[in-house]
Parts: sequence; structure tokens; C-alpha cells
Amino acid sequence: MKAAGFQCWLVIVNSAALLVPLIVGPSRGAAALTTAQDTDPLSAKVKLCLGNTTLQSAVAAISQQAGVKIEVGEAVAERNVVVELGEITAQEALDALTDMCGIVWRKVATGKYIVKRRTVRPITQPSQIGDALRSTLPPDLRTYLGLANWDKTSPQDQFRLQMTLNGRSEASVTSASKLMNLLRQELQQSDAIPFNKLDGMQRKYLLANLLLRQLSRTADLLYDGDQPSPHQIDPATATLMIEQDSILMVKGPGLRNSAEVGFGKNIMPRP
Amino acid sequence: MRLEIRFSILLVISLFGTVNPLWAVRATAQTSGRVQVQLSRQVSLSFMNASLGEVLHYLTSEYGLRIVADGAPLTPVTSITYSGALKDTLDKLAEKFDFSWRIGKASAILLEKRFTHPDDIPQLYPAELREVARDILTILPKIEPDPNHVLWGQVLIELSRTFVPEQVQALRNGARLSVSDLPAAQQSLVQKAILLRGFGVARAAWEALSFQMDNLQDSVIQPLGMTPPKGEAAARSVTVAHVATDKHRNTYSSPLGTITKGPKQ
Repeated sequence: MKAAGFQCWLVIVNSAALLVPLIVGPSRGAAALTTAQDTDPLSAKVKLCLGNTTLQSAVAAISQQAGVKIEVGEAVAERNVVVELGEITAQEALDALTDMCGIVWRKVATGKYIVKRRTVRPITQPSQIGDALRSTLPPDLRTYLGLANWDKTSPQDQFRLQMTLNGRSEASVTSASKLMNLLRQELQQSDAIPFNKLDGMQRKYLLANLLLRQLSRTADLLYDGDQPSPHQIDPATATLMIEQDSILMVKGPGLRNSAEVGFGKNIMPRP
Repeated sequence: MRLEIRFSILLVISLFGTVNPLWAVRATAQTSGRVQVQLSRQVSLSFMNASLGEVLHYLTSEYGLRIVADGAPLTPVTSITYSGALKDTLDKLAEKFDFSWRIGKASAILLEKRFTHPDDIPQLYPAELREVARDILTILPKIEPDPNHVLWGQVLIELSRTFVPEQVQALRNGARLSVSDLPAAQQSLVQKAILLRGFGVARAAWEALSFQMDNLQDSVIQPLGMTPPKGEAAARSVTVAHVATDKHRNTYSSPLGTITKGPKQ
């Protein structure tokens, strides 16, 4: 009687084990193996040998050949890609393109999809700042700044990259000087040059200057945001003290038993 | 005996339950295995002054590779002659155009720029930069922007003015005050100082870029200050800046360099 009860329980447990993957559902990769393949519009084959093109055009080609609506977020539509995927399913094509550009695709309704940047959320812990900031940057910009695979980079290499690149602040200066060289003559004769009168190269240098100038002001968080530093001080464990008679210091314990971190300000009125 | 048969049946059911979710993994491994086989093929190719697109098109049509490259190379064309494994050919090709490659989703070969040449810069589009700036502002703590990195110091001075004589005495005697023991108003000032010290400059930087991108289409590049009047003898060095202005007439100027404006020849 006891044995029969035990066997009954075993049957229930094993049946549950069998059902779990069916209930939870297969991963996106496994979807193609299910019977949904026949009805999934993204299982349609497309042929993509587009050469040098934009993400918008590449996705439009998938959309047209597979007969599905795919919207591309404005932020990533203009990205330049060289596409030689040959014959491939629409889903695989979207996977490859979004992997390349560090973005995502989502189903928004039946037969309707969107390709866009990842959604971000505010950080809940200051120690998350480095990872969170890096993940918002397009992959090519991360590589340019030496931040690709940052979490897999050794501390020594992280330090070297930070020292040599540091937000590519020198490139900000170089791009400004290249832009000035291109515009110098026109600026002698004109009081103002509207942005929409700039050509492609001039716009590129201007955008590089504007972006890299601000990036270099965030370099400490991008490169060092995960390390113990004053921005990670938790008020719950922080202390106040006076150093050198007049500097009010805010101090906090370092992470993982590292030295204390802190910052301070001379609070004595100036004579 | 009957019990053994029953347990054998249960074992089969258990294994089935375990193996089922592995189908997907197996399918991925098969695709990945297929690309590995493709990459180990011996190939021979020769290109003269060919673009990246042309070489990639050849690799796709001849060897069935799936390839995507991010952006156009700084070197528009190259010549390459190589015989060997397809994998090594990709290494050579990527190096010629200053790319690296990896196997990405859908077993596609993804070519990514390396930016070893100082003139090569990432792709920059106003719409994307606008969204990057907005995303970063979502991530950063919501505090006052502090472009000059001075506000946190002012907050500490403000905090010091709230100390009662006992606190001043304790600090002068070398004691430490736990922030958690302070009155709420003082704790709030410490919290503000920490956030401003850590994130004030970053917040100012990305608010500035967000403003610039929002108002880029109507922005101008212009010399700042007065242009020397006609007839003035000496030339004058004038700062040139990118100036963005919104509909409320708020302005953000970003200096680009200087030019010499002087008497017209």
C-alpha cells in the first residue's frame, strides 16, 4: 500500500517534470521547432544580400519579403551596416542584425514587430552605475572607448585603457579643430553657419566633438564606476570627521574590505 | 519484477522530461557546429581593390556564410590574396579593414570595428545620441546638474553651519559622527553632497548633450562676441562656438576653437 502511494507520487512528480518545459515554454530559439513554425510569420525565408545599407533598409527588406510589419526605432534607423546574410529566416535575420547593433526586436502585435534600443531603468545601487552607463552606449562607441567586454577585462587592462583612452578626450579636440579648418573661410565671411547647411563630414566632426566632450566628463563613472569611490558611499554607514583642522570629510567603508573612501571641503570661511 | 518494470517506465518519463528543454540547445549547437564546419573549409581567394561589401558578398555566395558588418571601414578598398582555412581568411580580411569578428546570433559572422586608426570614429547620428543622452539621464540619480563640480562643497559648508556646539566640539576632538545618528535634515544634506559629488557633473554633461541634440536642427556655429568694426586696424581673435537655442530662448554654447577676424582686405 505504501509502495503504491510512493509510486503514485513519483508518477505525479515525473509528469510535472515533463510538463514544466511545456508550460514555461521553449526559448525563442526553440520556437522554430514547435508546430508554430508553420504559422509564425518570422519563419518565412528571406534573401538578404544587401551590401552597404542602413538598418532601416535592411529591416524593410525583411519586412517586405516575409510579409510582416516591422517598425524601426528612429534612434537606430540610420545605422550603417553591410548585410550579406544569404537565405535565412526572417527571425534569424532580425537576431543577427540586432545582435550586431546591440539592440532588440520585439513582437508588438500579431504580425507586427519593432526593432529598437533596449529600455533602461534608473539604477537602484550606486555600484550599478558603470554597467548601466556602458550598456546604453552603442557597441561601436563602447569599442572606441575601450569599454567593450569591460566586465571580462582584467583590472590591469582596465587601468591601461582608462589611462590611454579616458573618454577619448583628445579626439574631442581633434574633431573640433578639423571642423574649424573646414569652416574657417566661411566663418570669416559669415556671422553664423546653420547646422542644416553643414555637409556630412562637418556634421560628423561636430557631433564627435559634442559627444566626446560630454563623455570625457563622465569618464570616471564609465571606467571606474564599479570601483570604490565617493559616489558609492552609503549614508547609512558613512561618518563625518574633521581633517587638518578645517576640512569636513564624508567617509564611507570601501567595498570588499578595500580602504576607506571619502571626500571633503574646507568649511572655514575665507579670510 | 513488476516493480522494476514500473520504475523503468518512470525513469524513461523522467529522462523525457529532462531532455525536452534540451531540444533548443541541441538545435543551437547544430547551427553553431555547422558554422564551425564552414569556417574550417580550405579556401583560396584573391581580390584586387575590392570593397568590404564585395568580399563579404563573395564569401556568402561561395561558402554560404551569413555576415553582417557594423559600419563602413575607413579603408574603402583593399587587396587580399589568401589560401587557407576560411576562419583564417576572415582573420586576415578583418584585419585589413580594421575589424574584428565573432560568431553571433543565428550563427552569423559579425564584423565589428576596432578603431585602431585615430581618424576612425564611431557612427554618430543625432537621433541616436538624443536617445543615448535621455537613457543616461534616466539612469543617473535625479539631482541638480553641477557643471563646475562646486555644489557638493557648498552643501558641506551648509551642513557645517547646522552643527550644534556639541557636534562641533566632538569633531574638533577628533571624533567621528555617524551620519545615521544625525538629525534628518543633516542626513539629507550629507546624502545630497554624496550625490552631487558623484553625479552632478555627469548629470550636467548629459543634460547639455540632450539639450544640444533636441535643438540641433536650429543650432548654429558662430563667432562669439563682437566682430571688429569695419575700419578697425588690428585683427582680433574670436572664439567660435556651437550654439543651440530652444523655443524658450535658453541657450547652450560649446566652444570649438578660435578664428582671427580682422580688417577686411
